[in-house]
Amino acid sequence: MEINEEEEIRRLLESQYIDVLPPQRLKVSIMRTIEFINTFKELCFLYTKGTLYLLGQWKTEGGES
Amino acid sequence: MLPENNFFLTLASTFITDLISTMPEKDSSDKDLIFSFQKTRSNKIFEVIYDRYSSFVYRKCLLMTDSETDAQDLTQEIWIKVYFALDTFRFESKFSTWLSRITINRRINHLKRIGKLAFSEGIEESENGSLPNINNCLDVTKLLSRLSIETKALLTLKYVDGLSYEEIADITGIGISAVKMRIARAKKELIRYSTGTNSKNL
Repeated sequence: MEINEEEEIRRLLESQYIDVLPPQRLKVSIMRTIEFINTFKELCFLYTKGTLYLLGQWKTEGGES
Repeated sequence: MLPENNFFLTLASTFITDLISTMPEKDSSDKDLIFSFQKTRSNKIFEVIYDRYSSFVYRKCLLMTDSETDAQDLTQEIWIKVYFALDTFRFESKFSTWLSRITINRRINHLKRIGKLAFSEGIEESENGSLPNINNCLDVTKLLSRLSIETKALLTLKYVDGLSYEEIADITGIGISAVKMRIARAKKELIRYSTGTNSKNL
């Protein structure tokens, strides 16, 4: 009985949007945002690396400047 | 035996075969896809994962927000979080379970942040002191739109996401007894509506 009730409520709630799909432009927007964040992170890394290099503080994994 | 000048061709062919074998196909298992993504950080693989689970996430966001714009904002936020957190996925649970957990937390945080969700310990009541009369509702959408967004969020967490009362109390920050009471009242109304509709249809 309890299980049937739970199933009925779940069905009622989900029935509103059962055939709804996310718009294609949402995927494009998500992928663009991810690419933007990745590019921004890369630029920040390069900027930090460049600054530290100019200051003579950049060290490779081996410990050499 | 291959001639010597074919050595590089053989090497290239082996490399390409290896590369193709590590590229998952659309019908690959979640585990293969995620493992490949963790190795390569390929956006193409992420798109396959997105295509597989985008509806799952989007529908849950729609259920909570009742607004396409909010649901799309929220879906975008969730998938960006998934992209950068996928490296930390250790295959200790199913991917869908892990994704569900992220989706639930993000949904609640997003709704709280934009001020659409403000849980309180009290039981919400309409002006005349009872829950909204939903017997006259014509369809499910109208019926559910009469419930407050908080009550709908609680019902979604309980019956669609399958969380326990303790987990819901933990996520929403309200007491277990308040959660139980609000869900029980909303459930009673929904069942009454559902039974009424079914009997009318017979």
